[in-house]
Amino acid sequence: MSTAWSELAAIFFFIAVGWVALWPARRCLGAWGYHTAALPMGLLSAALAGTFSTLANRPLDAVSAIAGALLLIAGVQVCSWLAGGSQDCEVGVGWRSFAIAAGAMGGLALVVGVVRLTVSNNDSVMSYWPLGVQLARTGQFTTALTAARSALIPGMNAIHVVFGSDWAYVIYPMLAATMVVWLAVTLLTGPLGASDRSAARWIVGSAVVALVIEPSFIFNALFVHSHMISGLYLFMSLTCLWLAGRQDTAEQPRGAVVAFLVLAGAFAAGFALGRPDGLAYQFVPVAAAISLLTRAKVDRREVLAFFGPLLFVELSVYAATYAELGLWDSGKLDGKTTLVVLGVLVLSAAGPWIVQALDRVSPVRLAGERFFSLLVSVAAVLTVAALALKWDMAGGALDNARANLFGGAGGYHYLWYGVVILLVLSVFTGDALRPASWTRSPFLSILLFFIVAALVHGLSHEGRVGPGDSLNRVAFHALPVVIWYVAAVVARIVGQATPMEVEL
Amino acid sequence: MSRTASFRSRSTIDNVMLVAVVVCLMAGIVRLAIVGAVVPWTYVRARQVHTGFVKLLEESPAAAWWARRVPYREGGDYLGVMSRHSSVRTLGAVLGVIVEQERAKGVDIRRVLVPKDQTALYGVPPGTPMVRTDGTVFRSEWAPPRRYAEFFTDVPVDTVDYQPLLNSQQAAALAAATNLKKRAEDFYVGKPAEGGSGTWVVLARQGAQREFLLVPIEARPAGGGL
Repeated sequence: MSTAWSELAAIFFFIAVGWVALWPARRCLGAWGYHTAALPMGLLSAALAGTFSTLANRPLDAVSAIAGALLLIAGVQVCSWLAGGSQDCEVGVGWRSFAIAAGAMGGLALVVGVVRLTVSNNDSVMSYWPLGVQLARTGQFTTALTAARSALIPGMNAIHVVFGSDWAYVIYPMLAATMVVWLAVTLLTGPLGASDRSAARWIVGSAVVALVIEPSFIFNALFVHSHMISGLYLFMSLTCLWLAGRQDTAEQPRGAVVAFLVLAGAFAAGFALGRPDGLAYQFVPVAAAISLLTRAKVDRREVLAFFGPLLFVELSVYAATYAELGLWDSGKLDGKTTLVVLGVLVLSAAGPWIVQALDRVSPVRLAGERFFSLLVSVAAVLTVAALALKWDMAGGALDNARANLFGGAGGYHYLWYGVVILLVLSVFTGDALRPASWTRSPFLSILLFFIVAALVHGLSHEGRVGPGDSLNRVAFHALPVVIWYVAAVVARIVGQATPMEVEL
Repeated sequence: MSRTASFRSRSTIDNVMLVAVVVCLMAGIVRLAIVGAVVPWTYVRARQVHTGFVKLLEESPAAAWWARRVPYREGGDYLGVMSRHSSVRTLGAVLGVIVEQERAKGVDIRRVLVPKDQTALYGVPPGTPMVRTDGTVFRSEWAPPRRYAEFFTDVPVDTVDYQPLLNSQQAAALAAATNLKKRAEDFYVGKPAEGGSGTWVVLARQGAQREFLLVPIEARPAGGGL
């Protein structure tokens, strides 16, 4: 099998797994949502395939790939069913849409595969791909894999090896296309759902153009690394939470809420497993979820819908890792640190009830949207204090970040100046913290993302001046969220009505 | 469905926000146009001054992200991808890939040999602090061939005691003496910023017990061929 066909076969495998896993939710997601979410959902099976091969002590071969797929399908569908399933949804997903989706995705994959466009650096060549090859051959999670790259991308590469590929690269532009389509679909069905059609087209078109002409997006669409995958999972997880929590319709079908929460949880797991530092950044969607889940009386099934897939995928992977490696030692991400983070994650699943209990005894409101803003405020203060205590390193990291993001060294030109200006302006327009809006949670998510970034990078390593700096690359993950947020603000301004005023 | 509000009916701050969004979007489009102009201009300039097109493009502030590591079309060939990376870290991986490719053809390979003295592999003795162009320091021992070969193959990588730094004539003599056949070449060892440079050759012994031998030849600036 030639490499291009191997690539296509591996990608089709992931899409097919995603289709099956999301089959019960298709009517709630609609054709666009269902088909667009299929690839990133199916991709999660790669991490579970590695889990299976590690525990079964066998290579990550076709059997392990299928086992990973079955585990994902079972996990997602059981969580969805326990959470109440896909009730009350009437949107049809016809067979024609499968043909169109397969044709569009297959066509794009074929073009990239034939043209053979790929971008790589030493991490791609000497780490991501070799770790995938090794995982395919031995089937075992290793310290190098877990500490340096986490399970998802080596697992994805291992499945490419199973299909005969010797360099997985076509999937990156496919994921970039997924990001673009998801941006358009979620804006149109979310903040622009009640807007004038002409205005909606202009706003969505502008948002899509803003994303696709951004050099870092083009670069990461071809870059064999973690950034497109991590950026996509963060973006999709958050947008699913915002769609699940929409308040612009009098009554959203319960099935749609469950479907979006299940997607959000699964994609949060993908975000956590895309890179070792994803373990820290995953608390951005987790915080947004707790805020959403405590808006009204905590519903056990909704908590299960989000935390079920998240814990199932993530804890399965790390359970296999601990079974294989014990408490591994590493200069990057060691077993003890991981255990602490996983403990906090498990505790977070009880977070909605804890927040609700505190809210009851507190004289001021703590739950719901207030939770997110309080958390971000406290996290900001603690982060500043922590960085001040370790200023020797944090000061250097800050200098490097400033040189990269604002001084031109990171290659973003004036992008982050524009982002800061727009974020600050949105505070003055009132959108940043407007209650019951499409914009409050995105704004707080962006802030929390950079607070976590400041902690991770300010306390662990100084970084360096140049495009290759870790924080400089990781900043890309927030970009689609920023564009979505700005588009939502523009939608409110152009519509001149908050979503609450439109329908209620 | 709501109606689109007029410019005058909105608050000043909302209008400022809209203008800022439009300005940012326009800046992005203008930047794209500048890059569109810079790329052909750089190509012409590169022809004029006989310098690499990509190198010039990388130095252009307008084209930074686009130009950095311009995509190349080696996607289907892992060895091809690695040969462009010119890193000391590629040594073991290349060996591992070649061994597995040969095994897939039915060749029995028992072990891979690399020189015990890896000075020639890295250009300096292992463990030597080396300074990158951005001022950061690393040690040359961070990527032993054995470890990276193990990503691809379970054929053991053994170190042998021989002087590996040869000129091309000596390499040919060694090939003749050991009945090793040249299998692959043109993998550069190290980038200029990371010290150790040169070209190495993989030789393979034909016969029942097939062996590979790394023969680094003449340290030289990266980018030059044999």
